[in-house]
Amino acid sequence: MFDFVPEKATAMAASVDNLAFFLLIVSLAFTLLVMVLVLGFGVRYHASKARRQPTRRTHRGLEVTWIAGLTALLLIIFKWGADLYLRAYAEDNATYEVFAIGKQWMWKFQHPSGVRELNELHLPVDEKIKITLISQDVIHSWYVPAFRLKHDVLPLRYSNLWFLPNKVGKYSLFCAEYCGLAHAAMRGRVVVLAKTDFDTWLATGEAAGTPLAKGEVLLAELGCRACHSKEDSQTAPRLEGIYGTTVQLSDGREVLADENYIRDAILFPEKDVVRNFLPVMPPYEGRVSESDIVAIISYIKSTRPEDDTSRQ
Amino acid sequence: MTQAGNNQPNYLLDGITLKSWLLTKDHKRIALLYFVGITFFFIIGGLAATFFRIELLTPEGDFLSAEGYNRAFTLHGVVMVWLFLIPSIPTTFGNFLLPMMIGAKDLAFPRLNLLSYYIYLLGGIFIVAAAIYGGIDTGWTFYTPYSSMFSNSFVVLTAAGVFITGFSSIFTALNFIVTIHKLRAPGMTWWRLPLFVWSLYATSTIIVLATPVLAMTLLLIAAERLFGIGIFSPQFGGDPILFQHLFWFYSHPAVYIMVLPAMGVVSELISAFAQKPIFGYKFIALSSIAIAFLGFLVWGHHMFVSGQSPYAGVVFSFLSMLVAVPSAVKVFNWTATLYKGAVRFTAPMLYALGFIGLFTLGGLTGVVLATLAVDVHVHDTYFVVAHFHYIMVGGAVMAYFGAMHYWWPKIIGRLYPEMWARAAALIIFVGFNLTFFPQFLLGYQGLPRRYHTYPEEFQVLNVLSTAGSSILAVGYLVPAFYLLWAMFKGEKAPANPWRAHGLEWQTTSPPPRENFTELPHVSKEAYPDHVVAEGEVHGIVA
Repeated sequence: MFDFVPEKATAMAASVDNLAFFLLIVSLAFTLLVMVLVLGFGVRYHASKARRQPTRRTHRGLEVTWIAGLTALLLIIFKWGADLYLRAYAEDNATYEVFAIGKQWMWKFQHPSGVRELNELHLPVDEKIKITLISQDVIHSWYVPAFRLKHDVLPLRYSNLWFLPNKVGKYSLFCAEYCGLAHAAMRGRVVVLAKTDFDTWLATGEAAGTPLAKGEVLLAELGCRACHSKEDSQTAPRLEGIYGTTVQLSDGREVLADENYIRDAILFPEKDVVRNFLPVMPPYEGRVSESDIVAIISYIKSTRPEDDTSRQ
Repeated sequence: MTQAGNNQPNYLLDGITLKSWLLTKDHKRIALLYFVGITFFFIIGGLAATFFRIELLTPEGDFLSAEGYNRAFTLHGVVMVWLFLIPSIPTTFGNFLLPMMIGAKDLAFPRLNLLSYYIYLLGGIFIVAAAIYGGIDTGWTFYTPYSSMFSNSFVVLTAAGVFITGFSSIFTALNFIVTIHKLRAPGMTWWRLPLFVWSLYATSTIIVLATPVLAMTLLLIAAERLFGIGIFSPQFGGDPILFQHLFWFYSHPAVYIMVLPAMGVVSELISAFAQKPIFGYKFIALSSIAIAFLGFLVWGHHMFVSGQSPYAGVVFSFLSMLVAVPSAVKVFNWTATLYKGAVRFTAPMLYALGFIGLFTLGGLTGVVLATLAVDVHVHDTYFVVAHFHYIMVGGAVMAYFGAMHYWWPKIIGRLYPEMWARAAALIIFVGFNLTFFPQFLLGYQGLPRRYHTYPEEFQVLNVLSTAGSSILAVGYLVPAFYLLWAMFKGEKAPANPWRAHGLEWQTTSPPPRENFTELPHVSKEAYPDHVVAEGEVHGIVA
C-alpha cells in the first residue's frame, strides 16, 4: 500500500498491522461521526434559525447504551492486543537463541556458536528466535520496526523477546529508550538470511572461540573452580546441568535456575544462597563483564549433570 | 473601566500601587499574576520547541549539537508540563472564577493562595536558572539510572525546582477543595454546581494525592545523585524500574490534572454557545470523578515494554481501556447538547469545538497505545508524541484559549475583536494538525522519539511538521496582539455579553473586589432551560 507502514518481517508484524488497521478504521469512523454530528448540529441548529425547542436534559437509556457499547468494543480490542503481546513476551519456544548487550552507544551480539557482532545481527529466517537482552549502563531499548517489536534493555537483569522472522532482508535496528548524548546514533541492522546462507555465514564468521569454550576457560581463570568442582561438594554447588532445574534455597524459597539466576549468583551471590551451603562465595560485581557472564551462561547451558570438566 | 455597583471600584482599580498587586489577597488579582507567569513560561517552552523543530528539518544534526538538542527537548517538556500545563487553567481561570461561580467573596485561604503563587515563581526560577547554567538532558521523565548516575547536567537543581512547584499545586488544590465544601452560597447544592467547578474539584483531589509521590521520587533521585544511596541504580543495589513505577504513579494522574479543567471549560462553553442546558449534567459531573479515580490505576501502561511482568501489562491495559469510557461520555454529552440548540460560532465556541474534534482523535490514539501488541511497536516513537500533543495542545491549550476569550470580558471589562479571534482560532487549528498529524505516521513508520538525527526517509514528514509549527506559532501570536490592544481600546463589556448562565455573569464586568454587591441565593440548577435575553441580568434571588 502506501509507505505508511514499514516492511513486515515477522509473523507478528502482519498481526500487529491488522490490529492497527482495525483501530484506524474504528478511530476514523468515530471521529468522523463526532465531527459530522457536531458541525451538522451547529449548522442545522444555528442561532440564526431561532427555533430553539425544549429538549430533554438527560436520557439514561442513551447514556447506558453508549457506555455499554463502547466498553464492549474496548474489551474486544484489549483481548486481541493482549493475546498478541503475550506471544512476543511470554512464549518460550525458541529454536535459536542469541544474546544482546546494549551499552552507550552501541550493540553487541553474541551467538551460541561463538560469533560476535557489533551493531549488526545475523539471524536465520523461519526460526523462532529468543533474544536475551542486558545493558552495561543505562536503560536502552532494542527496536526493529520491521518486526513491530521492541523491549527495554535493563542494567538490572536479562529481558527476553521471542519472534519469528519470516522474510529475508535487512532491517533497521534503533535504540528506543533515550540513553544520553548519542542515543540517535545507537542504530544497527538485523540481517535475516535463508538457512543455508546463514549457516555459511556462521561458519565463516569471525569467532572469538565459542562462548561455550570461553566459558569453561573463564571458570578456571576467575577462580570459580576452586569451589565449584567435583572433588568438593561441600563448599559450592555443582554448576553442570543446573540450567532449567529448580533450586532449593536456604531460606526455604524455590527458584528456577534461568539466565537471571546465574547472572545474579555471579554478581550478588549472597542474594539466593542454595540450601545446605554457607554464604561464602565472594561477589564478582565489577570483576566480570557482561560478555563474560554471557559466555559462562552459555557454557553452563550446554552441560549436563554428569559432565565433569574440573580436572582439565 | 466600569464602576461596580454601590460605587465600589472594580477589583482592577481597587488599589493601584505595585504593592497592592504583588501582595494582594484578591483571588482575581492573583489569577492575573499567575496569567503573567504562565504566559512567560509558555513562551520559554515554545522557544525550546522552535529550536528543535528547526533542527528536525534535516536528517543530519546541523542546527543544534546532540547535547543542545537533548537539553532543548528536555527543557520543553519540563517547562510545558510543570510550569504551563499543570497550573494553567486552575491557577488562572480556576482562581478567578471558582469563588464567583459558587457565590463566594474569595477562596477559603486567600493568603495561602498568594503563597502558592510565590512558590510557583520560586520553582520556576530554579528551573530557568538550571536551564541558563546549561540545563538537563534527561528528558522530562528523568529515567534512572541515566538521571541518577550518568547524566552530567543540573539534575538536582531542576528536580528541586519541580519539587518546589509541586507545593504550589498542592496548596492551590487544598484551597479549592475547602472552598467548594465550605463557601458555597445559600442554595448552591452540589448538584447545582457548574461543571467547571466539578472538574476543578476532581482535579484538586488528584493533585493532593499524586503530587507528594512525585516529590518523594525527586528526593530519591537527589539522594542517589548526591549521596550514592542505591535506590534506582543496579550498581548500588537499586532497581531502575522502581523509578518508573513511582514516576508514572504520579505522572499518569498528572495528565488528568492537565485535561480535566480543560474539559470543565468546554462544558461551560458548549452550554453557553448552544444556549442550552448541558446534556447529561450528572453523567458529566460524575465522569470527572471517575476519571480522577481510574486515572490512578493505569500508570503501568507507560511500561508495557519496560521489563515489568507481561501479566502486569495485561492488567494495566485492561484498566486503561476502562478509563477511556468516562472521557467518551463527555464527548457524547457535549455533542448531544448541540442538538436542537441555538448554536453560535463565536471564537470561544470555535476553540471548544476544536477541542472536541482533536481530543476525540487524541483519545482514540490513547486506546491504540493501551492496546498491548500495538504499543510494543509504537512505544517511544513519534506516535506517542503525537498522541499526547493532540490531548495537551489540541485539547488543553485550545480550552485555555477558549476560556481566555470567553471570560476575557468579565476579567478585563472589555470586549476583544471577534473576527480577529475567529481567524486566530482557525489558524491555530490548521497549524496544529499540520504539526502533529504527520507525527502519527512517523511513529508507525518506526521513528523513535528524542532523536537528534534520523534516517533520510523520515524527512518529508518532519518538514511538514515543522512547517505546521510555524503556522501554529503565528496562531498563538495573533491573540497576544489583539488582546493587548483590547485591554486598552476594546469596547466596554456589559455584565453578560454572551447571555450565559452562571453566577459570574450576574455581576459587573469587571467585578467588584468582593465579587458581588449582595450575597447570591441560588434556587435553580446550573444550566436552567431559560434563554437569557439581550441585556437581561437576572435577579439572583429566587
